[in-house]
Amino acid sequence: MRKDLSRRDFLQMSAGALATSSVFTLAGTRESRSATGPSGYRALVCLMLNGGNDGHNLIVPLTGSAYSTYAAGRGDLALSSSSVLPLNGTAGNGVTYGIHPSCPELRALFNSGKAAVVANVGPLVQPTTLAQAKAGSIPLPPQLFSHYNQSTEWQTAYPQSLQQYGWGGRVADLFVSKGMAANLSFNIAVGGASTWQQGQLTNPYTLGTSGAPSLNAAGNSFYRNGLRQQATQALLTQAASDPNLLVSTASSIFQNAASKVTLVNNALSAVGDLTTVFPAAQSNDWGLSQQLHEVARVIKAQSQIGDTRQLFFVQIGGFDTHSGQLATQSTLLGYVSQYVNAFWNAMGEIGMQNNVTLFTMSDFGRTLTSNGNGADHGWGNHHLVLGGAVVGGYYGTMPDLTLGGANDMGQGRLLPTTSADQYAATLAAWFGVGSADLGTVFPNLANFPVTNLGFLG
Amino acid sequence: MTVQRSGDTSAALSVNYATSDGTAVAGTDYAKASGMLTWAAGDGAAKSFAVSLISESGFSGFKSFAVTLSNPSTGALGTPSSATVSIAGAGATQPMGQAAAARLLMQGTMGASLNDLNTAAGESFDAWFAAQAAAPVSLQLPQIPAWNASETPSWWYNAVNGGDQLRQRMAFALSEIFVTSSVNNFLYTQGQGLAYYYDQIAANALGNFRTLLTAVSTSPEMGEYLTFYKNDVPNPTSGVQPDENYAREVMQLFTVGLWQLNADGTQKLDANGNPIPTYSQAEVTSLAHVFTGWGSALGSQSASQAWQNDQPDYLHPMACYAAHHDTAAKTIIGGVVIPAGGTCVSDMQVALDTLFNHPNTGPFIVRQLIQRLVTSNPSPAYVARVSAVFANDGTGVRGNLLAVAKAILTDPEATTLGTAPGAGKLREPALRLTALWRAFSASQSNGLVNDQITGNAASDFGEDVLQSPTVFNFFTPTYERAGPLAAANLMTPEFQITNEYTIVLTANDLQYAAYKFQSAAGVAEIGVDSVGGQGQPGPGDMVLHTAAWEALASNPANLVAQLALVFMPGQMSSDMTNTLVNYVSSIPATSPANRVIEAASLIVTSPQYSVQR
Repeated sequence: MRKDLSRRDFLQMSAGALATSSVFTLAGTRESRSATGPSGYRALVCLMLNGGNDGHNLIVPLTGSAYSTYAAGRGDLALSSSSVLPLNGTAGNGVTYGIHPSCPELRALFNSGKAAVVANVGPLVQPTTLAQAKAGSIPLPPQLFSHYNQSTEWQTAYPQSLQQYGWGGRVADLFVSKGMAANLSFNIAVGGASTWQQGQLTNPYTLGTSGAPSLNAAGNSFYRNGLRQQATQALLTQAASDPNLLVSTASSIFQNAASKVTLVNNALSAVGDLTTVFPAAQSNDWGLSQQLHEVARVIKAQSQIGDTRQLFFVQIGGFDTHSGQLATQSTLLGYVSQYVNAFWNAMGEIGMQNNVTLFTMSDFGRTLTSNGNGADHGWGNHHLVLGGAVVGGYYGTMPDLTLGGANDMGQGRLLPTTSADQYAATLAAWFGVGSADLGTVFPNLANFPVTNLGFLG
Repeated sequence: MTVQRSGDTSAALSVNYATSDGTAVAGTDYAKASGMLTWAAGDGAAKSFAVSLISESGFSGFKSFAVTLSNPSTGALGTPSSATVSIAGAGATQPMGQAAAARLLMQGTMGASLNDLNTAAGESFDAWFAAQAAAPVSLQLPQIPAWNASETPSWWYNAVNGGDQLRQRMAFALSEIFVTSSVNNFLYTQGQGLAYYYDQIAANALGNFRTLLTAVSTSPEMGEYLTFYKNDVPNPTSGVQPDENYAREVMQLFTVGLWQLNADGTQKLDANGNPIPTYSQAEVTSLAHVFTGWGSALGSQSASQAWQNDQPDYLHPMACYAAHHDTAAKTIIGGVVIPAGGTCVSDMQVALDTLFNHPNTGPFIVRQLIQRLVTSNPSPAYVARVSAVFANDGTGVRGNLLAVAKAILTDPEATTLGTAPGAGKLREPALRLTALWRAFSASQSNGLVNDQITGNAASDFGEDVLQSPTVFNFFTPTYERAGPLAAANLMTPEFQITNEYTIVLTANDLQYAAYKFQSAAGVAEIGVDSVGGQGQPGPGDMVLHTAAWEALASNPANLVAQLALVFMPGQMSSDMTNTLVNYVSSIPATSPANRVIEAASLIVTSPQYSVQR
């Protein structure tokens, strides 16, 4: 434990632009893996907080002047210091922080060393000073503060490319290019489509929250002595070689569904459900509890499915709190905390806590200033990583929350001090992307002095 | 073509002429022509030359090419020095015929019925568009009994039964640009409000884009959804700044878009080959100050009371509250200065005028409308032709959406079957269901359209009207699916909601929808005759009526041909035709309704039909 802590502290300092050559040595040693990486099963679960979660009210400074600065900047959005749940330890700046009052489960996970806070992360092309960002004198991610673009930039971890291939998709592309294959799919979407899982060569496989559906007409020989089934199959086969690419692609999705449905459903039924209880659905929770439950079921069925690397995508929306922020965010973060905790317990039930890492993404942080009862689109944001392999604590550099201060682009839109690409690369390295391939998956990574933030052991 | 000489005719003169392709192509539609006209000294007479047209069949609407004069030996070219020649095809002035009518109804309505097809086939394009524009607007709000009822049954009702089919199709497309949604903490209980909002779109869907922009921008639903309802003046003491949400999205999504565009919808590039942003954060912040002061319609309240309302009156446009409007001067997009001292109304007018007149707005909007109606990957020339109509409908009016719809749907790229590998678009699942129901005049015995399938649409289809998860719609216009589609640089928006889960459930839903039918003999059933039906449809089941189709069923080839015409005109391959004819032939001719339903259900669940080209 002591050793972990000292390494964490060291990397925190290095993330604060005090990089030394020994950082490279340490990171290089840890990442010298082949593409297949460590043996055994590993999964990444991306929890997307759609709309731009206000991370400055998720993680709140509590120590004296730091809280005063926070409260002054946030105005009517400020949480009272007595309501915020204190977290163990201090961040690199010596300040004690707390987590949003609706997140007691996440607080417990942090305090048990299983969760990390990665501070003030956002899309960057290269290390950027406030003066450079304001002057636009070096390349910046395009269309800052736009939902669609910054959300995409988080998911691509290649902001200036304007491409829509996500880094999860690129990891799958890399594996495929190295001859690896998945019985089901490297990328599995449970919460719907995402840029993150979209590869240039590969598409994710999409599951519902209760297994995979099968095509009635194709799977059922009941109708008209099987003639209908034959006709349906004939049309699918014809469509597969249709000269129109949209038709042949639609056919290929049908065929992929048909070829995977038995594998998935047999695997799920063979291992049975978890005993861990996932909370019941709420009207505005986007089915996140059911999504995480389904991910847990698929992970439980891992030995049946037979794939050793899986990337999952789940999501919850409603975080675009231009108005009614205090109540809305409290409700949504409450769901996140409870559901993620259930997922953590489920991983404990099946002995997979060390094999699975869950992390958050979101469009952007929000302005520190209020627009009356909400906040507008910002940039840098705090994120959470959870898992048995996580070395708990704080990473990155906590921002100065002073309006007009060292990190403020205006109205409390904070310039990130750690790039989303560094965050992603740290996750991908643990997942099994070798050091030789990290630069391929994350083209901007070489621009940053630290390529591994160290929150995964 | 006749060329007139005027002015001083004392010298000898020569001038060149040449044709150039527009939507008409030399060698296919007309014979390329070029040459020189000469006048002797003192000759002031008009000179002529001829361009011959090439006889062809199978095109509808208009195609055009240009004839241009150049290089006069003396003097200068007068005005005009070029002319556009339009070639009239089917429907241009004469009846469009079945094939052109079937394409038009596929692209411009919620689905073709046999009656509609026959009516349209006998009309010219002009007559059809005039009749559609004149049809009474089908509204949702009058159908909704209670304040908290959902608006989705009334949407499905109008989609299936409305006589204003072009308007309904345009409104649906526009609702996927001007997105509001019941997936919202306030709007999820406001069925009437969402119906009111959709009715504004429908009422303006064939009107003027500028009027629509005001209707959207003052609607309480948009005020609530994009959170500028009760947007207040800046407060230097508390640090409160105006909400930027609407200011950003009205530019990013509703008018100009993120990147500067050419008139053909392609991006302008800077010297380094990079796209050029249309506006910056400073202009968003400034525009946010414009959209201050909008609160609830007053009703019987005083202004000071009404401003306090947590939620607006959802059935009337928002009202302007002067005390809460920032009257300082604002510099918005393009450096336009809104002077100090304006009101919410006058400031909004300048801002929306500016956005409406921005050169991006035409190509940005019409490209998306083409994607919703006709094809995912329109050629730049197609976008440019429609953008030109957006800019000027021929009578000097900008933003005429009826003219835009007509330009989209009668363009050669719409009226011609797409045969390129990337031609066409994936049909939206909701429109596959409306097409099935319209083809068979489906109805519920309780008079509503709230079949269980409509309730499952959001999860099974990945889309349902006014239920987008975000303001970015169910799918984005630029989505590219990995694999052959992305490799061919094809944008495929609807594929973003198409995956192993939705493609299977959509097919299952469509099959089940097809299996609830009533034959001419009056027998209503769910399921299949010879293998045991699943009982009688209830009053809340949409029931297909096969009577109008059964006469065709005695000849399977004729039946399949007519279904192909209604559902996928010109697209059915001979393999698919053979498969369907063989299957239909295996069903006894004594069960004509079953022959119809079996063939129709195979078509609507097929990958071939899921693509419209």
